[in-house]
Amino acid sequence: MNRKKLCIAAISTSLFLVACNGEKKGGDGGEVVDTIAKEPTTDSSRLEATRQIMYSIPSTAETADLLKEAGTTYDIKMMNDVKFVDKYNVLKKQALNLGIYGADLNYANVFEKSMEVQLYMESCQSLVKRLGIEGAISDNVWDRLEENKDDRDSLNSIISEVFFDLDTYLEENDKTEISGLIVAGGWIEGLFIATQMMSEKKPNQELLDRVAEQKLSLENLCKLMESYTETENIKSVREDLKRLQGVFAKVEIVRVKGETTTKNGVTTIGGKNEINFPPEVFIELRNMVKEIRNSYTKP
Amino acid sequence: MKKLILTCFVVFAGIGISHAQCKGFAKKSCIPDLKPYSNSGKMNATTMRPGDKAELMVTFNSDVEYRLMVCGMDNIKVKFKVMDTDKNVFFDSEKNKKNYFDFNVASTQQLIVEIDCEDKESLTGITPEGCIAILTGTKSRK
Repeated sequence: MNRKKLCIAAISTSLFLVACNGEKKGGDGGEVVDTIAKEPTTDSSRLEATRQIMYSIPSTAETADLLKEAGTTYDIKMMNDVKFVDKYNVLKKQALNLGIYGADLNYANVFEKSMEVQLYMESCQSLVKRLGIEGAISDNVWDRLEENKDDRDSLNSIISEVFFDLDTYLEENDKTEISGLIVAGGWIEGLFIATQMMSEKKPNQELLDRVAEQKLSLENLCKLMESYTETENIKSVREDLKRLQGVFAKVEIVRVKGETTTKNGVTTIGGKNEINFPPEVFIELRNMVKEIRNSYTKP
Repeated sequence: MKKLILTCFVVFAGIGISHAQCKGFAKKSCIPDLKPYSNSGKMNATTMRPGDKAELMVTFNSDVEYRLMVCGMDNIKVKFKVMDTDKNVFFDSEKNKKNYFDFNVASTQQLIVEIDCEDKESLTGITPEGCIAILTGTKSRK
């Protein structure tokens, strides 16, 4: 009898721990969030096999590269002012702006603006401390950033390591709310920079297409955000993202398949996106992104 | 009763690895293999047992070279495919006999990474469970 109880307790603990691992509800492949969606397999003699569905969006470093390649120029006035960093006194603002400064840091880095890189590093470091998550970052990282501030590739690698370590630490310490806010803040900043860099009357077509394609990332981001525990902070950011989804719904993207080739071990997946992004929709999106982003950065 | 105890043991064994610990495994054992690509800083990791499946929906940007790697602990065997949303397969780790896919996309698109944890003979008779990590390395194309 006692053993039976023990086993029930074990099963309950197992289910509880699975739930606590951030592996959440799932579905049929369409409406599924972060990780677990259980579907039975034929082997009923053991625990049910699972089918998990996860979502991922491009990192802020990838987006920074994309913006540069699409023809944006560097303009520090577009970035969040580092003077605000000490004025963010609540968790939501601190975490969102850690994502925002992280995106600005990557953006400054792709343009090799070492002075600005330094400033954004300090801002990120300050927010990490104020969020009480400095344990996530190894002691020597800030020194390595300082030492490599003129080497773009090394910096890129160290910045990625910082955000990787942060993500791991937040998950290990059950602080996924902060994780979600950092991801959302970084994504919004990338979209803000891309949309504000363009003139309303004569937008850069390549950049316009890249902005339209953010519709695809936003779908994944929304599903990712659904996987986090619904706190008030997460809920309010999700609502902002849903508003943006409403505007992106007016952007049409038709996938046209193309040839896939492999050369020197690297495959190029062909095809193109035929995009219909009406000017009035661009202006609506530009204004909405600005409003949302500024509400995050306003001290 | 013996069966009951064994089941309990299997359940306990199955909860031994947390999602977060998987990231620690990935950092130590997988990230170095991304070279010469730079770690993009994002990773998905989870635990799997034989018969489990996982899918990752990812958006990939044009103008970037990617290395997508699926890395698993030694006690489990995983294979994966990379396909588009219409299930056209671009890479199959079983056919290519490697755990990474080097590629780029002509235009930004969503891809699906489908991972299967295969049956692997266990010496202990206990269903093995191990971490898998899906990592992306990047480098600029231009």
